[in-house]
Amino acid sequence: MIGLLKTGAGFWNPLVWVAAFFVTALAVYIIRSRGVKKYRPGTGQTMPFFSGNRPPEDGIKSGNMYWGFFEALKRYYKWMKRLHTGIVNDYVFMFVLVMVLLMAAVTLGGLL
Amino acid sequence: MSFIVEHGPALAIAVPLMAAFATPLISRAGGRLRELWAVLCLAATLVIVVMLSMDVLSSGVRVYALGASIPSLTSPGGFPIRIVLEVDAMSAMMGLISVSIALLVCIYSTQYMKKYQGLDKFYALLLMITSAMLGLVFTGDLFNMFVFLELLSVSSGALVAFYMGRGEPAEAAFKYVIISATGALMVLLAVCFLYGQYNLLSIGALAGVMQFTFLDKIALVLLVSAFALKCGAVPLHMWVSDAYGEAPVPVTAVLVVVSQASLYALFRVSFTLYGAMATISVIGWAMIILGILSMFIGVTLAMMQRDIKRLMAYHAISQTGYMLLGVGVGLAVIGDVGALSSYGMTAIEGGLFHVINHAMYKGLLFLTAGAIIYRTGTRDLNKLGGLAHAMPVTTCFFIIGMLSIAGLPPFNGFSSKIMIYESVFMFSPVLSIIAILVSILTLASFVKVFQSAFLGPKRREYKDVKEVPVAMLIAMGILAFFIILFGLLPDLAVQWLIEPAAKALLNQLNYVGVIV
Repeated sequence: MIGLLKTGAGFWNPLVWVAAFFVTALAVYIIRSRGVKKYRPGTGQTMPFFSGNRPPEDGIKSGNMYWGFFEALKRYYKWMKRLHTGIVNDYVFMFVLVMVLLMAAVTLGGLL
Repeated sequence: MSFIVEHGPALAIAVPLMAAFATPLISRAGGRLRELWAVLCLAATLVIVVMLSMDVLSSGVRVYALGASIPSLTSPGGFPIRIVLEVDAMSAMMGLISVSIALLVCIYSTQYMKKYQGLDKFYALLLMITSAMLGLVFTGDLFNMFVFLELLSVSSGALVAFYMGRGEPAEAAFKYVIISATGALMVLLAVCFLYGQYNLLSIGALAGVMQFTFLDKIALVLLVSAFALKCGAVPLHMWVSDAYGEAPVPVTAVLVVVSQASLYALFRVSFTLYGAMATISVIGWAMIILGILSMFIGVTLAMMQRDIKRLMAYHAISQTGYMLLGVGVGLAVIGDVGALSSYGMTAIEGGLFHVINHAMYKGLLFLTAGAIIYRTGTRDLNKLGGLAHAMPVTTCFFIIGMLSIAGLPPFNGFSSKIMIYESVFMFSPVLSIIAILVSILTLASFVKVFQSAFLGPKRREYKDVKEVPVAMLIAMGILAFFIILFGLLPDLAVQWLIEPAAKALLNQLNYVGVIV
């Protein structure tokens, strides 16, 4: 069968997925077209939802996004920023460190 | 035709190399001719690589002994002394990726780089990178692998520093060159260790006589570390955001493939040279650990970026993790025939399929980032917005790239990721769950880019922005077409390219047999 990809435990057929997608999209379109058509342009009904507030005129900036995610992982990001010094000596240090760890792993792997 | 196939391995390297040196001369006749020359030479190289690949896929490994009266005479007097190019299905796959992306980047550059000076050097270096990549993936000789790695580093480093007017590109190039030289030095040291013991440089011949002494293991560690450094695996990734961020956009798309050529070298050394070592699964585990670290740390760092190019650079690190994870799982179970046939082979195929897919969607995403920078002059996501109004075609291409990298069906990124998820799940469910989580974070990160750059009302400062020129659209369009094609018909890609490449990696005897 064309498009059938064996994935180890099962299979994946994108052509069937595309067919299912179009059928679903058609159903969604029909349901939507039967919705209430009366609305007042230029009022809150046509504005994007922004937690009940008026959205900023020039849109949401990338710096505003995922604030909660970064706040929850604040310590992780602080640690990451400390590691990424931008100094090339530190890059080479990491390389040496990986070589030492890998050497230890290969040597121990041979002993086990 | 048969002449091209017979001498294909040498021609594929020689054509872009000779073209590179001729480019400054051609430039004297005019910029249009220079651009046409570069595009035609890369197109000719692509034709050679396609013909060679078709031959390899139908007839098996092709060897080419440089300087021999008969190209297949690799071992005169029974001793493999000559410089040998050896192309199997794995090398052919990598060659196709390298030259295809280089050609599309060249087409894109004809418009994107138009306003800059020093383009004779730009195109010469682009051709030289292509030649070095093909040399790296076609060589059957460890010392020449080092030589091509150096050529790759020098030409890439020079292109990273192309915007010399600002300080940052020079700094990024300096770091890139230092890191590349350190890695290459370790490769040279490893080659010395092996040559000192066996008097051999040919990968196939070395694999046939390797005793796996302590010195061999040191050489393995040096080689694996150096190639992991060059492919940008965490924690050796720190140069990536600098180099990718500061290089001209078309160069960044090529740097993605350069990193993948290093990944090829890592796989070649692990499977072909050391595949028979009893404890090679340790390297498989090392790849898995590097892969998981790269996936998670890459994507979490990408999420916090405001610079569109640095954000995409961290995503490139993250996606490299998937390839390392898939192939690493295959290597970790290489000694267990049951596990290898049950899920190891699929894991390797998934990892290799992701190499191709990543080259396409990451190439497309970098080129769309270039389109944004070309029209707005900024890389800062906080300053962008509403571009979908003026650049609808670029927006469509970005959406295709975004959905593909996030692993959403029916695009090609999903096809390779589902192979990795399912096969890795059978090895360790936790690893598979991390991989899925990283895909979700990838989508979140690109939603941020999409929202920041393309959505929202049309902004006053971008009122004159319009769609990018046709040459840039053509390059992006071809990549988008193949992303959809490989997404809708993944079985054909796996059957014709990936499965033979995975078998070539695993079948060490085939590679060794044609040399010895």
